[in-house]
Amino acid sequence: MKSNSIIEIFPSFRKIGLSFILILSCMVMSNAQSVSGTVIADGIPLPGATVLVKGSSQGTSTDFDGNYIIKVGAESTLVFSYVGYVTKEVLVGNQSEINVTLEQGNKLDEVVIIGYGTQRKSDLTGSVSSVSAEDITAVPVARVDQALQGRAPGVNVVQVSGAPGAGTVIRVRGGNSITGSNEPLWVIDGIVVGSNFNLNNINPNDIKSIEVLKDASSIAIYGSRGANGVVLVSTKSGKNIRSAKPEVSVNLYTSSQIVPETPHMLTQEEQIDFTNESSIFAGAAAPFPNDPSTYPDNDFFDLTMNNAPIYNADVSVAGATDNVSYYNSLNYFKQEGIVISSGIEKYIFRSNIDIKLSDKLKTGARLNYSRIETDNGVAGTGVSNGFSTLRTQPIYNDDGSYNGFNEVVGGPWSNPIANAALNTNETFTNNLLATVYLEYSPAPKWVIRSTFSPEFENTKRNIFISSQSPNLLVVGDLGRASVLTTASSGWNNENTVQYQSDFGENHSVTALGGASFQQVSTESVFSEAFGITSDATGFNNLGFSDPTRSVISSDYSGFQIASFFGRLNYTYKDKYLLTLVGRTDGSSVFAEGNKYEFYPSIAGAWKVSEESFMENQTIFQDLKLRASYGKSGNQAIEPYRALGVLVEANTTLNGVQNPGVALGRPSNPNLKWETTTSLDIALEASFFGGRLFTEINYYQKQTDDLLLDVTIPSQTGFFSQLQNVGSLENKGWEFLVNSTNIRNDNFNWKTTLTLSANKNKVIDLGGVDKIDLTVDQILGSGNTQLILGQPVPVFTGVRYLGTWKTQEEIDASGLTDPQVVGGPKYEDLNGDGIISIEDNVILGDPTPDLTFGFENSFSYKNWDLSFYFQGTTGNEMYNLRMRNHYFNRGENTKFGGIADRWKEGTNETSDILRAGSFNVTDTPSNSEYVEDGSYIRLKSAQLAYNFPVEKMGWDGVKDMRVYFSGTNLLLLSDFRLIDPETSHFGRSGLGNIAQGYANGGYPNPQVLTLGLNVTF
Amino acid sequence: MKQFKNIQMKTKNIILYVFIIFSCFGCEEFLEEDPRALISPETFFASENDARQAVNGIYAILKNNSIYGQEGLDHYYDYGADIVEPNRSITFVEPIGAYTMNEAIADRSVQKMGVADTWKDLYRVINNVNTTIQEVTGNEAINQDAQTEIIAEVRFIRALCYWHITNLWGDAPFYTEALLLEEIAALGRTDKATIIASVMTDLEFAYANMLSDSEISDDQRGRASKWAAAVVMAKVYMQQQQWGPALAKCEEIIGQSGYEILPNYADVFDLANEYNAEIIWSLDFAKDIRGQFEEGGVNADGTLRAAFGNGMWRPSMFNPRLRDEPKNTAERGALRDALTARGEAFNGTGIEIASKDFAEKFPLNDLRRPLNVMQNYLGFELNFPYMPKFMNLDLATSPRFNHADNRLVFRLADVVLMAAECENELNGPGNAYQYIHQIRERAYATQAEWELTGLSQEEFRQAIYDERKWELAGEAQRRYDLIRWGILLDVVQNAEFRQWPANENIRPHHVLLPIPLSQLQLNPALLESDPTNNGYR
Repeated sequence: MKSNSIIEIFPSFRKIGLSFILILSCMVMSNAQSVSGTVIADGIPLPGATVLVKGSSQGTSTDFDGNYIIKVGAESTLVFSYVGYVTKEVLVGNQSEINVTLEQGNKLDEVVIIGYGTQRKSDLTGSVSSVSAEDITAVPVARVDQALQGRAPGVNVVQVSGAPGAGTVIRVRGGNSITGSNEPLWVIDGIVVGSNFNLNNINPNDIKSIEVLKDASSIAIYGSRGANGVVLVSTKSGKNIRSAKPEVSVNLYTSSQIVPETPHMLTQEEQIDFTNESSIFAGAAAPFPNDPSTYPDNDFFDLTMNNAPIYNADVSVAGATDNVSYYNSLNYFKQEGIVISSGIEKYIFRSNIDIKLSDKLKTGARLNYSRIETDNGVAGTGVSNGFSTLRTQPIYNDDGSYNGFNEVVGGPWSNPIANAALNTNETFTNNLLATVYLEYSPAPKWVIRSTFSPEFENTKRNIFISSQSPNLLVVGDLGRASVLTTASSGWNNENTVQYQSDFGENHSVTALGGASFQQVSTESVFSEAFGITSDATGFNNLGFSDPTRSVISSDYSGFQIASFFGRLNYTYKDKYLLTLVGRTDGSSVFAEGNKYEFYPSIAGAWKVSEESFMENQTIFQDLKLRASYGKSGNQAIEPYRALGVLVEANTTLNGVQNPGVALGRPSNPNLKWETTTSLDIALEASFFGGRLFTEINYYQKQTDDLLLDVTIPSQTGFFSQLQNVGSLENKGWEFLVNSTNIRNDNFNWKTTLTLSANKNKVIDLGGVDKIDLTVDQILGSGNTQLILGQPVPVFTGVRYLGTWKTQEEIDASGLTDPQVVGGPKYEDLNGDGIISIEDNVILGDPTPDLTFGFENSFSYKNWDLSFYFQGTTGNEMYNLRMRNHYFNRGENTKFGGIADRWKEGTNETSDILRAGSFNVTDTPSNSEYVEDGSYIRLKSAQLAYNFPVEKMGWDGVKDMRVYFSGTNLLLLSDFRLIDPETSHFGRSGLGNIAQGYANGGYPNPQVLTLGLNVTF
Repeated sequence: MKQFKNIQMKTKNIILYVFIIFSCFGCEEFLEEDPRALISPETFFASENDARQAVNGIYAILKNNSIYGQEGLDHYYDYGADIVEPNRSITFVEPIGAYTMNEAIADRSVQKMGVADTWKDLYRVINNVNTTIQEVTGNEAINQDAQTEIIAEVRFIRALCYWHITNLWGDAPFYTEALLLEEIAALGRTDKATIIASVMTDLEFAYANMLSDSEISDDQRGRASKWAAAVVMAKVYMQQQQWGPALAKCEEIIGQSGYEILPNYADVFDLANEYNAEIIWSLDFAKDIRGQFEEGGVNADGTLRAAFGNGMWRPSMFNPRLRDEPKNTAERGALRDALTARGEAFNGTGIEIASKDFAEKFPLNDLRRPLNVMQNYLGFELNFPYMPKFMNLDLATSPRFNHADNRLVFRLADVVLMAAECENELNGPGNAYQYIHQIRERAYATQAEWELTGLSQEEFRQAIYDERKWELAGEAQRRYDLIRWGILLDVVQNAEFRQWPANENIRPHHVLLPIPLSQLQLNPALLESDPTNNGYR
């Protein structure tokens, strides 16, 4: 980080934050009337149990001895709950002491958050996965999404890059869209922040729970934006504080990130041999005529990656009185990347407050401010350096200056070591995410709630390339710099009216109606300067440059959404549940006539265990069957895609640039939403007194009107057009088991198993049986296709059959393409004498047959131990590095296996092609590129010690815990690029379907962490 | 009762509230799209300047790698004949040069200059021209004269592109109006004669209404003049063997245009005087223009590319690569030092260099030889013969893949030789010597060397064949001429190649390219008139 000024500011920033917390602490008010007591479970006091005043947000939790104190009126009912135990309700009356004993219960009694409300899990008709704060913070993660990996069945989370601050790719029950976004919608404390929200802005330690909504019934309330699933994040409040005085938590950890295994390449000597052989074969001179020992041997993987630290510190203050509860926190996080010149530094401040103004009126706010400073790295992705440069490339010239010329290629060389020393590429982000709400109950049973949630984000990206950069020096060029600033702002206004009532003994109704409006806009300015002679001002004064070469641009983009929605929950005899949901969305991105769409859903559940015929059985504690069916949408396109546009196409006349425009893309006023129709059937059961809980889901989803950038004949003057084409289907099973294997006073053993199996296929392509997708521009077409009846997408290419062994074999083949002995032999499937895309076969698909997570946690007295495995089977990877590093010219590094290639006279039986026999342009997509992508990973393991603070007599300390954890400790995979998770898979566009395309990106490090949590 | 009234009040409040939140936004207005940063073709043409920008954009596409920016058109007009060849096996020029082309190879995009790229970009020019004509015609914001001049200029460019298309593929999809996308996408191939007839109509309009060079202001140099249109007309007439109209057109150019044959051959290629009197049209390029591979349009993820790149790569194709030189590898360091001392570098690719045949046959006494065949440099003997007329070794002003050199399209010497050829075809050599001598005079030291006498019509024809080869080498003329003369097979089969067996591979159908395979799959109508795809299937 070159941001000394920020480090200087940090202490004062912290001071301001702390005083703010103190001011808020003073707002705690007092109340005279109180009730106290002890909560007992399994014969012993139960610490941490929740005590809530029914129908309000007021509550507390029991302390370490199971005791609580709460201030309530006599008419109130107290609700006692604890995870895994049956919730109990007690009317206060005139009692001043209420002691309760909780019976072991099950998962179904947890309260979960759903869109625009909460529900007991047992009352759910939809499919919702919950992840608790304990799961999230068990092993430290830098981002919330990382904590979701493998925790929720049907939610596939892939860490595609190990770069500091890099996000994950999340697919809830498979992808619904081909080129549109498949990322779930994120809703943070009720604020719809979209599917592209930068989760670095949120401190994982602030999170109380995460819920993932998966089926039509639960997502339909989010209408056109819910099709990919909805992730609801709730942050902590002061409501559950165990005592009247404020609670202070401190959470510190430090990690060491270890460079993982790198791909196996040829040794320097083997590479020289290959390169020479290849050049001679192409009719050129050998570039390395001398003994290998006279050339450098630089391992660029090693030279550009180092073990690196992470530091994290959190402080939070929370408290509650009858009328006010608050939670304030500060977080500092710093990570240096394992690739030189990359890193991230974050400062996050949160303040949550809830105020009861009167019995009818409540208000509150959630405020999150973050500043993120990212070093984007100027030395490549680490692994890419090892691929892009031969080991013989010198880093320094004889005179000690940086080398910038690649003699083998004959051109300038971007020296990663020099880049790291000389250049800058950094991004600063300030983000403010806030919401204020007002909740009014004008009459019993009625609640009206309005929220207003603004979000502001400013980013600035600075890039500076020094005039001393060796690759510029060799071509006589000077330094360059660019600055990109973006400012986005948006607001979200939600208004709901809720009515809840019981009619007689058997009927219960909850009805919700609402309207929501959202507007988001982003503006940006970009400036780039060239011909900078001095490094003195860097990107801070672009004026010191060659004015004739400056590049400037600016952009504006915005969209609006207006929605109206309603939900009706009806319960009969607490056994039969029905939910109806409908939402109408209007969006600005579509042309007139296609702006609105209606999304209905229906769901029902049957609590079988409540039936009288189940009374006498002892196996099931709970048994519930549920089903839902409905429609949701995907506004899968960026603003303005329905419009045809002109793009900048400047041209020089008399040596000077003149402005010009040309047709960019064709319009398509017929664009409309992608619509997903889904069916979900599930069985939930708990056995053995709740010690075993299982949930099995079956789902089926069909997405119609897929938005696809369809390749059109180029005789039109265009390459592609965005169209609604065809349909695809996802079907799958999800299986969850929570089991308490052993539970006694000293020893606990719990197991969680999640299994997900998703199968997708193309069921309609608008009249054609296949569509070619160009995932990689250089690779060109014919390697990824949508084929009717096949998964989305499939890897295609020709079959590699080994090498040609004799000229006779070539002559007999009938191929008219030039072929050489020792060169690659591909299957000419249609026998037309040329190898073309018409000889393509399906080589595999990137969709796993099975995704699994398996966690075991043990506790013995004060010790906790857990380990967590996660993996996939049945998916293939498309290794893009094969193109240049297995096939192609000698100027590229080669995978280690190539040492055993076909060699004239010495190794003529090898099926690995000879050096130089084929160039990249001649190498079709072929079966050698596709590898097995299955893996098992020991994702995390942790050993923790909870100090017995009571026994040790540490006054004022409520909890203290130290832990030692590790992530990515073990990886079992056969993939040539080592980690099948590190891939091209991205969040939008073609990256979206590029699951399984790997190029050797920023590797995921192994991380060892030592941490301390203390609560006062 | 009071309580009841209260509840009534509250219900009224609730209804009022619900009414307010459901109606407080005029949704129609709220949901209107506001594309402030974008411009659409329907609303853009609001002034003459706007229309001029559209014309500039068309030039920008012409300068893409696939056409005039790098080697795009060189592939089809120079490789696969007897003038240029790479110094080693280079697969992206090999299919053309060695005649191993097929539909699948034609589909590959290599540095945006594969067959499919050229196909796409030529049609992209045509689509832009059609749209520009539609938006400019009758546009009240543009005065009548400007309308005519703009339309003339873009019709010339459209004619040029259709002429290239027929040269490369013969029959081809053809449209001259801004039709619906679906209609254009389904067009089959129109026969070449119909396309050429339309090309001539466009060219006649262009010739009548475009500016001449003297009318184009200095800051607009690089735009085509009416004389460029005249050159293409003459070339089409010659292709059709209409020697009379062809000669007349050449005469008009020679007599009326004001262009001159420079006294010294080397001066034609002088980088300090790129718009010299012999140049009829050259496309303007400047150094440090970003994004050579960029082609505008839409990225895979739907975002728009920042800008077209008009970067000039071509000299890097002609420049030597230090790794290959000099002949004595032990002297490589010394050569590098000698170059550095002059502010030069061998930092090219050595891909577009003199062919073995060309270097061996080029007359040693021809003063043009040093500009066309370089076998020594700074006293070092070189491995390969390079072609200095299009090289640029200056490191500061012309680094690798970043050159300011203009792209020569047409020059007067070509037209003078065309006149010689027409005259010979019409009336025999008698009156044709005057033309060929203008070119030969500056090519040899003595009259005895340059003067041709007593040739038969056939001998003169042969002399023209050779003269065009020496004079116009590397100027994207040779293969077109050989095909026009009907001697491509003969010449290639009898030429000697350093790198590839073109002489063994060439077949009669190789005078045309295949339509790229994916285009046939996207639009099967392309196979209706010719199921063999120009003989490639």
